[in-house]
Amino acid sequence: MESPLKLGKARRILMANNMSFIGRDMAVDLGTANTLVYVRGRGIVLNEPSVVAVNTNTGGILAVGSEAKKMIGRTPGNIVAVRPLKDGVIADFEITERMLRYFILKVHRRRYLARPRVVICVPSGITGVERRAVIDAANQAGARTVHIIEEPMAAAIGAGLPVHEATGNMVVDIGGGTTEVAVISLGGIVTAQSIRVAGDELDNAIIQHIKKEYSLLLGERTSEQIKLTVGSAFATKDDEEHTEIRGRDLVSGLPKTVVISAAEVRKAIEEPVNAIVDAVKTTLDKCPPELSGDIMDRGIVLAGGGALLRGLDERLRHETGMPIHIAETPLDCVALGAGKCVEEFEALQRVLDAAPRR
Amino acid sequence: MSIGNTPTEDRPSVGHALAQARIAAGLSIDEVSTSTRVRVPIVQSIEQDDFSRCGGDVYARGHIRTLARAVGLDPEPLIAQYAAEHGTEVVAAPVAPLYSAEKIRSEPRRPNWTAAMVAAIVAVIGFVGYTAFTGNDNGNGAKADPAPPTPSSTATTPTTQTTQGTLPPTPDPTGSAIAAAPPGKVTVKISAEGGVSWVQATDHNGKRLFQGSLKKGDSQTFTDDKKIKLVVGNAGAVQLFVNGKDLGAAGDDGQVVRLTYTPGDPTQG
Repeated sequence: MESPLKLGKARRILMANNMSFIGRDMAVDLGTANTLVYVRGRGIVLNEPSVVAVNTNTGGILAVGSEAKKMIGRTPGNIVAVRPLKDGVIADFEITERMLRYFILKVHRRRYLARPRVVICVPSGITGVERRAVIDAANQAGARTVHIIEEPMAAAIGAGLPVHEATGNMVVDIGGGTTEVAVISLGGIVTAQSIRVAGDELDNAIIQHIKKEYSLLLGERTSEQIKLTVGSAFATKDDEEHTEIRGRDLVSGLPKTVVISAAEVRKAIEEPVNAIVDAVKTTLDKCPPELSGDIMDRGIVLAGGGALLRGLDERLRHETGMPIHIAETPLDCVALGAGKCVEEFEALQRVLDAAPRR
Repeated sequence: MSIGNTPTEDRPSVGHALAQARIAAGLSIDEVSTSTRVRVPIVQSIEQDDFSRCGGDVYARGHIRTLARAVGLDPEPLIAQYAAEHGTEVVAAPVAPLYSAEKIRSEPRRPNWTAAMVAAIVAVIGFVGYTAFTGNDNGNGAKADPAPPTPSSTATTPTTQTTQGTLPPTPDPTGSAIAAAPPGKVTVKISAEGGVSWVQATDHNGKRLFQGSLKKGDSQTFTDDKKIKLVVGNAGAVQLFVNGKDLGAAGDDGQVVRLTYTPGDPTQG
């Protein structure tokens, strides 16, 4: 006689949840290198590499995030550590969806009824198909509604630029897979360029250079480490640092250690850095003259992990003749900007869901 | 003025500090502008503490930082001073240590709507069952109570309820079922004493008052103004009390009997 009453009560609670509160709104910076999750009212709660380790025998996920990143290049035959995003877009749909679901569940204490509204950042040069893939993946990962914001817009909002004013703002967001250059005015993107040359390409350039010069094979992780410690984009007086690197000798097949200088690394990454500088220049070239004048006064803001490459601001200053600023927290800019959209959802809704321009 | 304020009072303003440092470094505004690419009029207005030309806090902070580096100053105290003077805070991004490496379940659960639906259906069925059960309970209560069922407790026909107030007090204070029969009505009490029997009772309109099996020891009481018809499936098993009169067994064991009673047949006594 009591159980129907209990069940009735449970049903009432269920209904109340249904109507008032299904999951917290969140913003996801689904980057090639790192995924950041911003939860409304709580700030950035998660910052993890976008890596998933999968057991190929069972198809089950072993690890997500930094733990999976440690496994890259060190896995036995039945485990693969994958980066489901490449060049800023989804390369492996299913793994991306599972990673998203994992992150969504991660930030919710209640495991059931976690169906939040989600704002996801995408590169500005994304095609309709790639965009659709992001929306579908988020929907299947348990999102109630999915909104899309373009990365340069999110980066500009996150850096605190006055995007809603009728003046030009130029932002360069150098992420893991893509570099986004955009001129923003009146809450919209005036002109933008997205090139698929960014942090990963710099790592790759280092690998290729070391392979050519020293016949030494490096892993992705080691080359990233080299970039972070001695990588630079502009020659300064006191940069003759040296670093020791370990890898496999291609000739003998044995592990080997070589010492390389900062100048050598700079030469190795010359080509991708040039591509980034060229992207900035072409965007300036396409920029309407009034906005060019504004940017001349205000300068260009660098965001994303690539902004931390030493000497890049100096290099751009030299090449473009404009003042260059590095955002306060370059790595979190995009997530913070998307987070601001979540916090002030109604006010900033018009910057969301801009239709693809191509 | 408190002592705590003195350092800020003594400290030159941001623009002033930049100008001093530039002169100390022996640089002209043009030279600084060339190396930092900040345009000359903007450098001048910053040195006069006019940041309106920068076009926003972020840009102002960026310019201060580049100029400070160019003239060999540490930019951070100047940025802090600018923030204090202009009431803007450098928003630090707090990365809460919420994430901890934790065992991953093979397949994360999604909201199980099927289970919710099943729970809802079970709840509805349970409620219906509950009401039906309590409805039976009333009948059982009448059986469990050896005292005479008053018309209100039998609650079989609404007519008894309405006429209850006009009824004369029962003549016999012992309150047995026999004595409780009101005159001018037909009252039938049927109790299964010898075994199980199927019983159907209808009133003068043909409305069904009761239909079902009476278990051994169960009893039912029916009242109507004019007529009660009974169908008893196992006549030997049931005892009948009609209008307060004990009629004994309705018939032989296993026999099916159809009986009709009116207020005057049989009469009380």
